[in-house]
This record gives sequence, C-alpha cells and structure tokens, in this order.
Amino acid sequence: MTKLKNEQKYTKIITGGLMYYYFNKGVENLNINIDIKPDYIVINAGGRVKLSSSDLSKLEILKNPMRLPEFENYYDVLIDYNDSSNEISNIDGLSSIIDASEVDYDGEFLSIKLRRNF
Amino acid sequence: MSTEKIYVKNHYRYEFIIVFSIAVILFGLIFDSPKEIIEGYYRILTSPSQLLTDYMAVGGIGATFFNAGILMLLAAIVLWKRKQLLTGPIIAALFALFGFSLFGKNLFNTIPITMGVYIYGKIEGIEFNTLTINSLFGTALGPAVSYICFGLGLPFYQGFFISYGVGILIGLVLPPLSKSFLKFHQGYTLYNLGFTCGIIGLFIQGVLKSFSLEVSNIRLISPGDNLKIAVFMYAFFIFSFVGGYFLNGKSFSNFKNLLSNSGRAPSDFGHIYGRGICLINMALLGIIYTTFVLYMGQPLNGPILGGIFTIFGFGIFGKHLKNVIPILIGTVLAYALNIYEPKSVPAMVTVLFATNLAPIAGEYGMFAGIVAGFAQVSIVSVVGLLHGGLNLYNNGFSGGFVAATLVPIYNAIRESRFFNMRRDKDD
Repeated sequence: MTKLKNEQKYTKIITGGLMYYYFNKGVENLNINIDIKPDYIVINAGGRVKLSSSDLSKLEILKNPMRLPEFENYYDVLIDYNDSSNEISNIDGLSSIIDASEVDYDGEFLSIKLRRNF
Repeated sequence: MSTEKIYVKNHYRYEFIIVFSIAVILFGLIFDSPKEIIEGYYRILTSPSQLLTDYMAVGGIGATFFNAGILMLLAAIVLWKRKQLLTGPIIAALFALFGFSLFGKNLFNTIPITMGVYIYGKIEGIEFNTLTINSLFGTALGPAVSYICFGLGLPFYQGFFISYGVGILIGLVLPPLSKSFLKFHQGYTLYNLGFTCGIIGLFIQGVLKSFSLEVSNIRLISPGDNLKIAVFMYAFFIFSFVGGYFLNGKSFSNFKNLLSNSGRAPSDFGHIYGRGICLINMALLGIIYTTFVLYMGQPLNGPILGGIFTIFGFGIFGKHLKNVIPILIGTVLAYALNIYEPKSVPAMVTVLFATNLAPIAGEYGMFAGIVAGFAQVSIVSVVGLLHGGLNLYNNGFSGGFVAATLVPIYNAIRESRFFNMRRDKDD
C-alpha cells in the first residue's frame, strides 16, 4: 500500500471515529473538513452538542494524543462508527493514531481538530 | 518537558518487568537445584506441549519458572532495545507470554512464529513495532511447532526444518488474519489472537488429520506446591498494590472511573486513568483469583498460574473487578449445573480464561456477562477438539464465537423498540 493510500485509509478511520462521537452526543448539524497536506493531514470537526462534565473529562484523553505503533495495523479497525462501538474505547483508539489535537468546547459548540503526520 | 516526552518517559520503563522476570527465575531455585532445573528445562524445550501440558509436570517447578522468567526477560529486553513503549496491550501481552510459558510456550517454539511476523513486516514494509502484539500473542501456536518437531516421531533435523517452516508460515499469516478477525467479535473478547490462532490451528489439525497424524488433547497436570507459590503470589500482588498506591499519589482516585469502563478493546487503562490505579486494579484481580483458586482447593500449577497472571496483565487492558465478576458467576453457575467436574484443573482454567469476555459484562451489564460466562463453558469444551490443543488460547478461540454471537443479539435487544425507552420517548 502506498503512503498516500495508507493515510487516506486512516483519514476514513479518524473521520468515522469523530462521526461516531458526535452522533453519540446527538449532533444535528456536523461539519467535517479534511485537509491533505504533503506531510500531514488535518481533520476539523465541529457541531453543537450538550456535554456533561464526565464527557469533558473523557475528552481529556484526546487532548493528550500519543501515536502508538501497536494500534496501527491492528486495533485501528475497531475505531469507527458501528452499532457495537464504545465511546471511551473509540476516544482512546483515536488518540492513539494521531499526532496532535485541539479540542475546544464553549458550552454549546464542540470543535475537534486532529492532525496526523505522514 | 513536552507532554509527548513525559509520556514516552513514563512508558519506557521496563524495570518492573525485568525485575519480576529475574525474581521468578530465582524463585525457581527454592524448588530445584540448578542441575535439576537445566535437565527439566531440556525436557520442557523438547516437549510436544499441546494442551494441557503443565510444564511443572514435565520439567519440575524450578525449570518451569526458569522457562517463563527467561522468556519474559528476553521479550522485555528485545522490546526495550527496539524502543517499544510499554503500553497497556504490551504489558498484557508480556504477562500472557509469561503465563503461557508455564504450560506450552518456550524458547524453541516461539522463535519461528516471531520470525514469521518479522518477515511479514519486512515484506510489507511495515515496522516490527506495529506488529508486536501479533508476535507476542501469536506464540499461542507454539505447540504446533513443538508437536511437529517432537510429537510426530520424525528424525530431529527433519522435524526441526518442517516445524520451523510451519512456525514461520504461521507468523506470516497471523497479522492480516488477526486484524480481520477483530471485526468478527468487534473487540468484545480480549484474546483476539486466541481466536485467530484457533482458526489457524484448525487448518493445521485438518492437514495433520488428512495424513493420519491427528493431534489429541492430553492432560499432563502437576499438583503444584500451593504454600510456597501462594506466598510468592500474594507478596507480588501486595507489592504491586502498594506500588500502585504510591504511583497514584497515595490515593485511589480514578478507580471508580476505571470500573465504569466497559473494557472493550482497545481500552488502554494506563493511558486513560494512569499507571498507578491500573497496578492497584491488577493486584486486586490477582488477589481475588488466587484466593478463589485456593478456596476451590485447586493446585497452583502451570495452567492455573498462567490464568491468574494473564488476568493480572489484562488488568491494564480491559479487565477490572466489575466486568470479570459476572463472567466468574456465569462460569461457576455453568459448572454447578452441567455434567463437567467443577473442581478440576480444566474447569478452573476455563473459569480463569473466560474473563476474556469481560467487555461484554462491562458494556451490556451483569446479566449479559453471566450468560456469556455460562455460554463460554459450553463452547470451550467443543472448540478444543477442532485444533487438538495446538492453540494454547483455547478460551480465546471459544470467546470469539461467544462474543460474535452474543454481541449482535445484545445490540438488537438494546436497540429494540420494546427496550429502547429513550428512543420511544423521543419519537
């Protein structure tokens, strides 16, 4: 698999993971923007959701991402939107395949920006 | 220091694993002399090793601890040299490697499988670090290598080349298969490689059977030495508990949050809740299951210790008190009602390894977990025949079928209009 194809695959996985999270929180209007650069990819998502303090503490995991080699080519298949996904497992998985993140919540609007280096 | 650097520093500490491995090797000297250990170790290396071969019955207690300690030590050194971060799944894999080295894995039968995974990475241009889980857990098929070399009655060199060829082939097919099979049960059994290895074992058994070389399960079980081993186990778990308490800032903070996690893979508790509280969780699991084994009057021998140490390792990657208890109840209930002997080593092994289904209890609740535990007991006795004991993770093989069957049913119930009150209300 070429590098670009591999990164396109991960873009789909990350986007799926984000959609799962937002839909789980009952978002009605979700914007996702994907920007592919020569060396990295940035995925921006934003939508109005109601988050509890417990939800915010779970999102802390996403604020401290660390790319883990053992997750790639293995557990990444479980990060996606399907009926049996689990929120915390999804967040933990996402944080293990990205290099940097920005998470911002103003009480109504949640924006998540994730970056993955090639 | 950046967050990334702190993370890397915290997750690159193999001292605990290395000290534990050495302590176990030295602990073996309490039971046997160095000469007896060397002789016993040779018998272990040349054993066919299919399920249920307790290495304590093959080579003695000292040699068994030597085998498990040396394998864990070598694996830890290789990972440390390769700068592999010591994350939750890696800790779980190392303790599973240790546990199964008490009854089936040894240096001889793990090398070719690891080589095969390594070659796969080279062929596909994938870094070996991304395949570590495959290489560590994939050694569950070690008995396939040992059995071909030492169980078929072939001349050594012929057996050696055929068995290593098969081992390398196993390693080559493991990564793509294991990834694919994860989707089958969607992470609701923690021993995914067990399921994968079960399928490969089924193919090997099929080929062997077509040449009238069918493998059969055996029962080579040692009575262990409960007093000395129990003292060692409790001391280790208490040490881990105290260490975890200090690492967690002399508190039990986050323990409630950890218990609320379903455990569905991937759930690296160390990453989510911190190392300290995970050590506390691991130690508590170890203490509870060791006490349960002793209460049931079972020996602390290779397979049973293997089960306890695997539970301990997965205390940082999916298992906790809340999600293992329903599985325990389900399995005990099954043995109380069915025709199988409840107070036996195979039954206890199932009770211990059935905890691979803990995420089902974590996600769908107590009753769902009890049903999963109950089902596991029924299925595990059937699937063992399919691979003839060549796959050491027989409960993982069975767990894959149980999870793949129950999870869609539980989802259907949860999403059903009869039960989904919230959706009805919204409508």
